[in-house]
Amino acid sequence: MLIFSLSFWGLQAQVIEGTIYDKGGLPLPGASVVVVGQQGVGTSADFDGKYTITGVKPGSIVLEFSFIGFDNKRIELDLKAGEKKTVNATLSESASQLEEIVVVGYGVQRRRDMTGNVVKLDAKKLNDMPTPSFETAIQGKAAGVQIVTGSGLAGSASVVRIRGITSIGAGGDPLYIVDGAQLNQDFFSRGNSGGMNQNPLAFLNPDDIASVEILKDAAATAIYGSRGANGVILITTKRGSKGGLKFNFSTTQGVSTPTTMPQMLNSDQYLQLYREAWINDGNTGTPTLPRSVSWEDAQNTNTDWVDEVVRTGYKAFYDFSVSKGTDKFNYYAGLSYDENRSYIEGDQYNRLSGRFNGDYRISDKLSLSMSTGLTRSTYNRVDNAWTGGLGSAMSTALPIYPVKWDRYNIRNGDTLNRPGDWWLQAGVGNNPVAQRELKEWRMTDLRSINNAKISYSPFKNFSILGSASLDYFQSMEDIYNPAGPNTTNVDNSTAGRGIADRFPQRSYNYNGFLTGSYDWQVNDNSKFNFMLGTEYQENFTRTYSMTVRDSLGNITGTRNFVQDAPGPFYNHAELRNDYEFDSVQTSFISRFMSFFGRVNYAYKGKYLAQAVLRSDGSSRFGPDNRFGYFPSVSLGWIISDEDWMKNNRVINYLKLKGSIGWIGNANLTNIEFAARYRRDAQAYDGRDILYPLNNPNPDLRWETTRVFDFGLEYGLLEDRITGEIAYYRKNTTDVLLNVTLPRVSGFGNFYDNVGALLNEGVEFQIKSRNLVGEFRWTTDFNIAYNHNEIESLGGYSADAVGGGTNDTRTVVGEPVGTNFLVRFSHVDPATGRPVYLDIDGNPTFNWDPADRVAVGSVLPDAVGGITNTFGYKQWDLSVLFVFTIGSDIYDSSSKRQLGRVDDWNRTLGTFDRWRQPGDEAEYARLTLDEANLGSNTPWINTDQWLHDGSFLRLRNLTLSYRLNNDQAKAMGLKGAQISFIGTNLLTFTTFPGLDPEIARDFENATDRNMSVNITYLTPPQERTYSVRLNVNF
Amino acid sequence: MLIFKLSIMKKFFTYIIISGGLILGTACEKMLETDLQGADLTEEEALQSKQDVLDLLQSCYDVTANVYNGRVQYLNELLADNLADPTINEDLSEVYNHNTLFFNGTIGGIYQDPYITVFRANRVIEVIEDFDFSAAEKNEIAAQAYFLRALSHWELVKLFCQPYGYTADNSHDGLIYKTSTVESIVARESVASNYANIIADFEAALPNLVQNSDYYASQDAANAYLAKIYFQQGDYAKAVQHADAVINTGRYSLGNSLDRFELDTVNVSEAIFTTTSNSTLRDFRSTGFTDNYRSDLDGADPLFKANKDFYDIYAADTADRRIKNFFEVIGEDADAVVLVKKFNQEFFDVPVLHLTDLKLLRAEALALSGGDLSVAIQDINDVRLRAYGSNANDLAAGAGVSEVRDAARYERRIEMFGEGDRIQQLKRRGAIGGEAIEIRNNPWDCNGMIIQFPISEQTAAFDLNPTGGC
Repeated sequence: MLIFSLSFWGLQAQVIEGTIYDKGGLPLPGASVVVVGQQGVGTSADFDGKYTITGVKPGSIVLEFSFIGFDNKRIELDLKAGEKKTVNATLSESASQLEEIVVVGYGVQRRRDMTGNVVKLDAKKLNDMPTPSFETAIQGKAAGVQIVTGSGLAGSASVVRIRGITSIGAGGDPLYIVDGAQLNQDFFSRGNSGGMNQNPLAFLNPDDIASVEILKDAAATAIYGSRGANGVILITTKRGSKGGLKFNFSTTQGVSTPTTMPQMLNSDQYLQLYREAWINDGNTGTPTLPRSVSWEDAQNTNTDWVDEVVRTGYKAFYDFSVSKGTDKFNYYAGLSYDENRSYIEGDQYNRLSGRFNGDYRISDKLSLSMSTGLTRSTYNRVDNAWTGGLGSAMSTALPIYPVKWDRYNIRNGDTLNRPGDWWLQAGVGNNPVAQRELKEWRMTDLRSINNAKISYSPFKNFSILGSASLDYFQSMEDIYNPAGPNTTNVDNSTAGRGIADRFPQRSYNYNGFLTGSYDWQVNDNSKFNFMLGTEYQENFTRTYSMTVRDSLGNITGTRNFVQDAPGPFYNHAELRNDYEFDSVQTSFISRFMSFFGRVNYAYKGKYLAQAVLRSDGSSRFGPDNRFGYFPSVSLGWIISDEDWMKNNRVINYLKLKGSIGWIGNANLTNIEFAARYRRDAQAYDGRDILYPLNNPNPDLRWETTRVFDFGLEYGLLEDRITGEIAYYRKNTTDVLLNVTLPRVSGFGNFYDNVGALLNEGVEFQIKSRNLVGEFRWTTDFNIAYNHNEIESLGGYSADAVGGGTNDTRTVVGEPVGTNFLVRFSHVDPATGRPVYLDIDGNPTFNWDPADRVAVGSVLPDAVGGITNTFGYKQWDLSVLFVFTIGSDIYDSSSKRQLGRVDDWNRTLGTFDRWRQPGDEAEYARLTLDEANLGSNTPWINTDQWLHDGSFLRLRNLTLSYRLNNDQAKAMGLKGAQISFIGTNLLTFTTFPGLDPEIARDFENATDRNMSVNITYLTPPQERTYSVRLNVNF
Repeated sequence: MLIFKLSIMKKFFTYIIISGGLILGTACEKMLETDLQGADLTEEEALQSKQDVLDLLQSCYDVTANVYNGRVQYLNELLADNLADPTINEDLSEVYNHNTLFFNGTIGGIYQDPYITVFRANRVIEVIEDFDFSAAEKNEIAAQAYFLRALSHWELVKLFCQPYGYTADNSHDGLIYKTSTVESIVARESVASNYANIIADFEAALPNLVQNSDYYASQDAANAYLAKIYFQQGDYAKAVQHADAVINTGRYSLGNSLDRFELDTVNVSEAIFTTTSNSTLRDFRSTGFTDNYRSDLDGADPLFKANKDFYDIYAADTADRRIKNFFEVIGEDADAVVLVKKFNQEFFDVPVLHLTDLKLLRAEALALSGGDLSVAIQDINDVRLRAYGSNANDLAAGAGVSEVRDAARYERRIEMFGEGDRIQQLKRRGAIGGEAIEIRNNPWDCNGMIIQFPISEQTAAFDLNPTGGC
């Protein structure tokens, strides 16, 4: 009662209010303020940075202000009973490179004390635009991090490369860790079905992310040993901060279109050009059209297939979260729903995700914490790229083909088709509308990332941390193809009503570690931190099928389909009940056991040193090379702390740092070191055979990258200008190659550590607060140059490693993913034939692959971004441009869209073709016979289809308005903000194809490393226009 | 207190160090041994018993049957002058036009398969000591492996390298002769070295093989191969010697059937070594022939048709039953197409080595080496008797050397149509006999007369064949 009275009395009486600013005078919405020692008394600032605390007990009190990315600040004051006081606070950005806390491997460090190269992006930088997956929001914001967004398909995977590419045959993607849990990141869990690799990162709700740390150099990544060479991305999700109950609701609603619309021939144009080719080839009479379509029917049909498969996309995102924090506990709970309908008809990715993160301090010594996220996604898929959809509309779906029959199709007295039936004469792949409407295809995934930690500190400066994680991924692929009349499977004698396929899959990734750390303050000048740890990880995938038995009950095989099914499994409980997926196959089991340690030393706070060693044992490598050791040492010197620099008027912060380390890459997806055999019963002459599947390589081992890094962090003019310059050199040896073996070996492929690679680069990042005060203007610019070169292939040829079907090659002295092509010179004005250059550069009419040379590279010379942020009163405007310089794009589809005339539709560029002697044309004379193009192969790869892929893109433009305190209060809110967001609004490029940002579907890890920027009917990126509303209460 | 704290810390760090030590040591290494995916077996699991070794050996025959299923035969045939241009197949058309490129996928497959056999045969030889076979068993298994290794290289050297005799010392580029499973980048050996290795393997196999066998390695088969190899080298005396070793056993006779491509060669009395199809299991090892030559199916438009010029050489002789049995002309004049009937079956066993071959080989070898012409004439007449059904077309008993030689060649060409023999005879005549042989207007020794290697073969040490065709 007394407590109640006091509280009541308190609530009525003392009030503290004020505004929380940053050093530039910008209000800090969301910043927290609590009264130290008075549990539950506190609040967070509204969108104007204003706060009001009621219920403060009078007396001598301490206010603690805090905000992510800023240093905490305490202000002491006396508050009399009934008094109302205004206390404004100015917080210093930790990003001023002094006090910011940065998450590093197995711990956190003050940025000031760090010797490694880590980029930290906070929530604000990650949520500023709607993206299908969080990683695409990093684009242009972190120096040296190249993000190539997947295609316009809602669930497609993007490609992330940190400081170039250090691998050829093993995975080149960074390691992702969410709240201590290592992620499964299988980009090929469903291969490249439907012309796409499904994004394994899309499960994460971007609004749940508090910060992303990108570890780039050996000082930062050596602690991850054999998995650090491609860089590490640490994702930290939101947790409750000190203060009362906070609710946040946000929603984004938007529409999307393709950044570029394919321009294809219409029916008249196609027929005109087809006839021209026919006549050019010396034919007479009415041309014979593809798929036996009559000339008359063709003339009467004009289908705009692009229009048939493209729509206005729609995006709807809702996020609701609640959080609270006290000295004893804190939690954050969030629920979000994302509905992502891309501009491609039928393509829709829906994600429902929930998260609960909580921490509980049992005592000063013992605390528990957990992070758990559960996401259920359904992805309604359609075939695309080379398998259908927009890809068909750009290729095999000719404008002379109708969508549906407009008359009866009768043969031998049988009515085969009626008006309104799908027109499938050319096959279903050539009618993307029928393909989409007939085939039901859905991925239903469940993903749960869980982590529990226990921290025990038996005495001051010593703590033990135990962590256990599970990444569980359940994926169900369902496909249904109906059978019978008016379907693609007319013969329904075995298929019945249709065939329902189901492919269940479950992946498990267990990961646990235990670390101990001790801070040892030797004296006023010397400080050590020791950390030792051990870790275990296990990862495997199970796939499920139905056992098939003969009439005697003997097992004869397995299957994943049901004939005569009424529909897909997900719509039919009877299918789910009747068919049991009882046959389990476990894929490659991968285990890692590790041991690691780190020592940090600081002398006088300005001379820094760090040493790291990790040892990994992995099941991926044979007994002789099972263990790898990955050390790094680094040094730092805060020059600005030297007496002779302290009074420098221009430079207020300067840190020099350097590191060297050896880190590994063990990204293999199967056991390649061991000989694998298979047995086939009654295989030849009725006898069993036993045969090897691979050429074992017992010496297979890690790729090792020696990384040298040199960096300079700076702060000028009282941190008005801050930034970092870095130089690195990464020498990778024992590069894993999935070598296309000389056939003399008896095998097609073989993993071998034979290559050597170099990545060398410079990164520059600058942030400048150009204007502060009422009108605010900040510029953040970064650019990273990278030189990539294959130094050795161990004697294998350029063709020994191919990027899938994408015609990139590995050439010694050239970058990974070199375009190795016959050179096209010009179109001969006399004959209209293409003129190529032979190996010596002499013109020739004959296309011979022996004349291929390195003519380009898909890797960029430089990538970067520039963000300008403007603010005036309650308005903010943020403009992000991203750019890529010096990469080449190979437009593989144009060898058919602009090459030999055949059963593909053509792009409008084809009109610039040779027609008569004397013509100087871009493209050769039209022909149906490749011999006229100098080849006996119909589709010829030449550098005529290779283009400069440099571009500058207005990636994001956001205009926001936030309510001030009074406006918010009037609406019963703590704050609200509304934003108008446009993405990919403008693109400046000379690339004549669709979109210059290309991550097509890949076949395997090698392809993913080598074939970014190869387009083959790849859907262009999306342009979106959205409105976002964010409300706090 | 401080001591207490330090002891806790020490204990903890010791624990981590010990666990780390365990990981790094061997105690926990077992944890890092994981199972293979699905039904795959490690070699340790796969090769446990003597039967397992025999099953591995059996897999060599499995691949060899795929090599001889018509593919290696038609590649040879395409280079020669027996077939018409298979225009609609780009890969094979390149071969026909004597200009294969290194991106030819069909070639890649056919080049690889014999080396699959070689890898497995080498593995058999490498592991055999680990199993409890008797000395005789061991020798016989190894002999089969040598036999398979030799024939695999032999088929490749004929297709991918210029023939024996192309250079005086045969130092021109041959193949890599694989005698172990170790993967390494090495240069091409000389053709001289290849032939020496092939002969050495067959010779090593000979004493330990069974005398004869329908589908497996035997002394008769090894002798037949050696006869063919020596013949190709122009060592006609040795060719006769090895042909005699088979013919004189009396185990083989020409029989009455003109077509030796039968469902079951057990009943083909002239077959010395065949690959087999299994009708019960519907395991057909003749698809290289049936998929490409069959002319008896509704609306059949087979890829391979006989060359009209070839057909015309024989067609005038209406008494020759082979013409009607093997070929059918449809269309007239310029549109005339010669369909092949020789392989018109759903499937069959493929006779790789047979008596007709050896008899005609012996006849020509005897003629060319000053041997006993009466034996040669009898060999030719044996074949003619079967072809004509009478002795009316017999070669006269007093026929001279060139008459015997030409008769043997004439019979050989039609008898072995489709079997890939013709090109090797022409090359031998060019390389050993010094004749100015042209094959469809291209000299026998031009670049395109051998097949280009797949691009995968190119390494720092291995040079591809010269490009540019003929």
